[in-house]
Amino acid sequence: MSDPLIELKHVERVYPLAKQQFFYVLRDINLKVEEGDFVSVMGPSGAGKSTLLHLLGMHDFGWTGEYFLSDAAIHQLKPKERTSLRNEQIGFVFQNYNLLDDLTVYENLDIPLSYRRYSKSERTSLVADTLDRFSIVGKKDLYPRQLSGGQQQLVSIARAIIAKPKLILADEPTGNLHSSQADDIMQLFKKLNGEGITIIQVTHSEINAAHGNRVIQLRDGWIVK
Amino acid sequence: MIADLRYALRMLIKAPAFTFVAILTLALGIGANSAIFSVIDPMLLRSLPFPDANRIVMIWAQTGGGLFGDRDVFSYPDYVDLRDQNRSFAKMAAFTRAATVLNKAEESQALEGVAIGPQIFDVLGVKPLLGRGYTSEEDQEGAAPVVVLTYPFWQRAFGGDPNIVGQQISLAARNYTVLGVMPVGWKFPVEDEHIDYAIPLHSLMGASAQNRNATFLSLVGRLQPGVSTRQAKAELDAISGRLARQYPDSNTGRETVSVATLHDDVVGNVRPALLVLSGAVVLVLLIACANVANLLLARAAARSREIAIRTALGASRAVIVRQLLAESLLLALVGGAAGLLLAWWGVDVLGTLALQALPHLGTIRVNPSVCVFTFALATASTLLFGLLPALQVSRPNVIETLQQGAKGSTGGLQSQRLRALLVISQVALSLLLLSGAGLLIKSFFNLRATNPGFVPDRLMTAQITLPRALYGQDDGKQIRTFQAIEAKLAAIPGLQFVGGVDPLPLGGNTRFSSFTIGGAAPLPRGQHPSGTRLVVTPNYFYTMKIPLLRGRVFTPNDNANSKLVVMINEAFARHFFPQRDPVGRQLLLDRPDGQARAVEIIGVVGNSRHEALNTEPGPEFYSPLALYAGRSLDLVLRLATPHLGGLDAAVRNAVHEVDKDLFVPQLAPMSNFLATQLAQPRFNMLLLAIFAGLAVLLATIGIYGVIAYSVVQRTREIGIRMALGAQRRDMLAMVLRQSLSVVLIGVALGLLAAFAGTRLLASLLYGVGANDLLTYAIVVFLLGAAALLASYIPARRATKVDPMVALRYE
Repeated sequence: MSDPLIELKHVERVYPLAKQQFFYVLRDINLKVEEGDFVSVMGPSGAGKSTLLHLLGMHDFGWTGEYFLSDAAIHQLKPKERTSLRNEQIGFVFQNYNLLDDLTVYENLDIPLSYRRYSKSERTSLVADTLDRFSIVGKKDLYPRQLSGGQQQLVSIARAIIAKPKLILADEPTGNLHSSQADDIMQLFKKLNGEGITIIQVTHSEINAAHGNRVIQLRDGWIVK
Repeated sequence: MIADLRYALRMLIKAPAFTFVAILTLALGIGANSAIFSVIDPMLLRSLPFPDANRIVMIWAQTGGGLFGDRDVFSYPDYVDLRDQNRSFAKMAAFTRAATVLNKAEESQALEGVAIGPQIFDVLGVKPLLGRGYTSEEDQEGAAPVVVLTYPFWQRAFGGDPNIVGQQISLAARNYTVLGVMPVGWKFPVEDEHIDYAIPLHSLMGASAQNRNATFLSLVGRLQPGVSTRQAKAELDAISGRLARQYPDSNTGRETVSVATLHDDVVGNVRPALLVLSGAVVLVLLIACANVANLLLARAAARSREIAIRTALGASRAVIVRQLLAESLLLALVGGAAGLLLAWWGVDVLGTLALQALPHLGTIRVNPSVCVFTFALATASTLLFGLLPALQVSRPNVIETLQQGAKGSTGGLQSQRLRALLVISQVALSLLLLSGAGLLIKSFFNLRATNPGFVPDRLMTAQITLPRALYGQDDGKQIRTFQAIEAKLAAIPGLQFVGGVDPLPLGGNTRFSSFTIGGAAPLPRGQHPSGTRLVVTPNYFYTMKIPLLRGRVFTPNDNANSKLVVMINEAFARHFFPQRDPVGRQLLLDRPDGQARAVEIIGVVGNSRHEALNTEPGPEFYSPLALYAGRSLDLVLRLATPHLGGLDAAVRNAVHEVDKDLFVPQLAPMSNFLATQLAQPRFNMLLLAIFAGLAVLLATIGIYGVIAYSVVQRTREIGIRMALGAQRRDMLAMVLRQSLSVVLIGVALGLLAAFAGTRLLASLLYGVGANDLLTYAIVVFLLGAAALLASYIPARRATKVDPMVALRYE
C-alpha cells in the first residue's frame, strides 16, 4: 500500500490563556488521508473543524506534533518552504467565496497562477481552459458582484483547481448557497474527486458529507470518529 | 508590475475621496519642494555660465570693517602689485560698477555698467559674440573711449544692429567706439539684474590710479589649473603682508585677503536662507507623507480581507508589499504631477518675491531639471509614506480575517500605535516650522519698525550725474551747478524742502574716510579710525527730518572761503567724545596726499541708517557740498502733500533750465529703498510662514483623521460606556484626552527640536533671539488650538453615539 497523502501524528493546537492555563483547540490528532479521498470533517461549532482545515492548509503554524504531506515533513519545513509546498499542492474554497471584488472573473482565476510564476502564455491558456471547463467563458469579464452566489462559488472552485493542486480544502463550501446550488457544487466536487483530486471539506450538512467517502467527527478538539 | 499598476489604478478610482485627499496632500508637499528647487537650482546648484567656473574667484581685503564688513576693496596700485607678483592666478582683473546715460536723439536712457580691466575676457573665458574686447593699450589714461555692449542692451537699444561694431555711441555726452557685443547671458557682475556695457577701467580712474588710499576696486581672477583657493589666499596674504610693511600709511590693517569662488561669493549671503527654506519644505513633505501613511493605514483595515485572500491564494509578503507600493507609487506620481502644476503657478509668485531678494543668477522657472527633481522626489516619497503601511498590513491573520468574513481587523494595537506615532511626528515637525516662521515674522516686523533715522514718507529722490565730458574735474563748476539745481527745485510749488546728499542713505553705496581727533595722541596712518562720510547740502537735514541734537546745521556760508566745518552723528559723538561736548572740537581728515585737513565740528545730528536697515549706525560725519563736490548728487525732495502731479516733468524742466544736457532719471520714492532692505527678510518670512501654515493644516488633518478613525473603531466601547451611565461630556473628555496626550508629546518633542533647530536661523534674525519664549508660547497656543479643533469635531461625534444602535450593529 502506498503512503498516505496526509498524515498527522499527535497534532495539538493550544492557545495560552491566563497564567499557566491553556485552551486546547485540537488535541492529539492522528489522521491519515489517502490520495483520492473525499473527506468530510463534521462537528459542532467550536469543535476545531476550521482550525484543522487551516492547519492542513498551512495558514497556521502554531501547532505541535507531526504533519506529513506527500512525504514532506511539514513540521520540519521553514515558513518559505511551507508556502512553496502549499502553492504547489493545495487549493482553497471558502464558504463566503472570497473572490476579490475588484477583479473580474478572468483576473480572479489568473491570480493564483501569477503567484506561482506561470508564464503569461501558460496563464492565458490555463485560464481559457478553466473558463471553458466550468462553462463560464461568457462571464469572464464580469465582477463577482455581478454573479449569483452559486456562480461565485463555481468561480471560487475554478480558482482553487486552476493551478492543478493535489488537494482541495473547502471550508463549508455550500454554507451560503441554497440546496439546488449546493447540490451542483457537490456534484462538481465529486467529479473533481473522480479525476484524482483529494478533497477535504468542513461541513455541517449530512447530505453534503454523503457525497464523500469518509467522515471525520470532531468534538472539543478530539477526533471522536 | 504593469498588472499591479493597472489594479492600483482601479483601486484608487474606486476610492475617490481617499485618492483626492492623498493626491492633494502629496501635491502640496511635493509642489512646495519643486517650487523651492526652482529657486535653489539656479542659485546653489548650477555653476556659473563660464568655462571652468570653479576656477573663477573673488578676492577681498580682510580689514575687519569697511564697505562690506570684513570684505574690503582695493586701490589700483595694490591691485597691480597683487596681479603682477602672484603665480596662483592665470589672470586677474579689477573692476568697479559704473553708470552712465545713453544720449539718443529721441530719449536718453540711464545705463548700468562696469568699468573693468581687459583681463576680464580671459578671466571669465568668454569672447565677444561680435567684434572684440578691448586691449591693455585701450585701457590707458588718455586712450580713445571704447565700449563693449552686452547682448540685451544691444538688442534693446540698437535693435540687434549687426553693423554696430565700429559705430560711435554717446555716453554721458562723450563718444565711445563700440568694439564688440558679448554673447547672450554674459553679464558682470553676475548678480546684477542687468548690465548694459563694459568700459576700460582707466576711463573712470583719474588720479586714483596712483593713490594707495583710494580703495574702490573689486578683484576677480582665474586660478591656474590645480591651484586651490587656500593656496591662492596664502600667496596673496604673503604679498599683502609685504605691501603693508612697504606702505604702512595706507596698507596697515590690510595684511590678509579672502579668496572665494565667484559662485560662493555671490550666493554666500542668501545661502543660509535658502538652506533653511529647503529644510522647511522637506519637513512639509515629511508631514504630508505622514498624513498619507495614516490614510493608508486606515484604509488597510478595509482591505484586510482582500490581502488575506491573496495570501491564502499564495501571494508572498513581497508580492503584497509590491502591490501596495504600486498604489503608493501611482498616488505619488499623480501627486507629483499636481505638485508640478502648483509649482508652475507658485514660481511666478516666487520670481516676483525673489526679484529684489536674491542675486540675479538665472531665471526662476519650472524647467526640465525641476521636472526631473519632482519625478525623483515623488518616487522617493512613495517609500516614505507607502512602505510602513505596506509592511504593516502585508502580514494579515489569514484565518481570523477569512473566518470573520468581510470584517477587517488590521486596526490593531500596533497599527494604532503607528498612527499615533505619525501624528506625534507631524505635530513636532509643525511646531518646529511654526517656531521658525514665528521668529522670522517677529524679526521682519522688528526690522520694518526700525526707525531709519529719517522720515521716508513723501520723500522722493533722483540722482543727477554731471558728465565728465562736460564738467571735467572742475569742482567749482560742479558745485555751482548742483547749487543752482537745488535752488531751481526749491521753487517748484508743492515741495516743502529740497536737499542733496552723496551717497544716498540705503542706496547701496557707502564712503569711508579716516581721520584723527584734534588734540589726541598721534597714531600711524594705517591705524587712524574711520567713519562714513557724506556730502550734503544745507537743507538736507530739514528735508530728511533728521533731528539736530546740538550745535547748528550747515548754512550757505559754510564754503571754501570760510572756516572748514563738519557735522557728526550721535554715534560718532558717543564713540569719540563720551561725556564730552563735541561741538567746537577739531577733526583732522586724512587726505590722499598724506596730509590732514583740520575741520571743526559744528553740530550733532541724530543717527540715521545708511548702510543697511539692520545695521546699527556707526560713526558718520557730514561735509558741506560747497567744499567737497563730486560729479554725482542724490537730490531729496520733501513733498508738502502725499501726491504731487507732474513732479517728474517739473524736476526735469528745472534741471534742464540749469543744463539742458543733463540726464534726469525718473523720481523714486525713498520708501523704495526701504522696501529693498526688507525684500530678503520678507522673502524668507513669507515662504517660511506659508510652509508652516501648510504644515499646520496637514497636521490638523492628520489629527482629525486619527481621532475620527479611533471614534469609529470605539463605537461599541462608547455604546457600552453610555449604556453603563457615561454622560456625553464624559465621552467628549475621553476622546479629547486621547487626542491631547498625543498632541502634547508632539509639542514637547517639537519644542526640543525648535530650541535646537532655530539656531540655524540666528543669522537671519533681527531684534529677536532664536529662543524667544514669547514666540514659542504663541506658537504652542496656535498649534494647540488647531489640534483641539481637529479633535473636537470627531469627539462631538462620539457624544452622539446611540448605545442601542452601537451595540446592535456590533
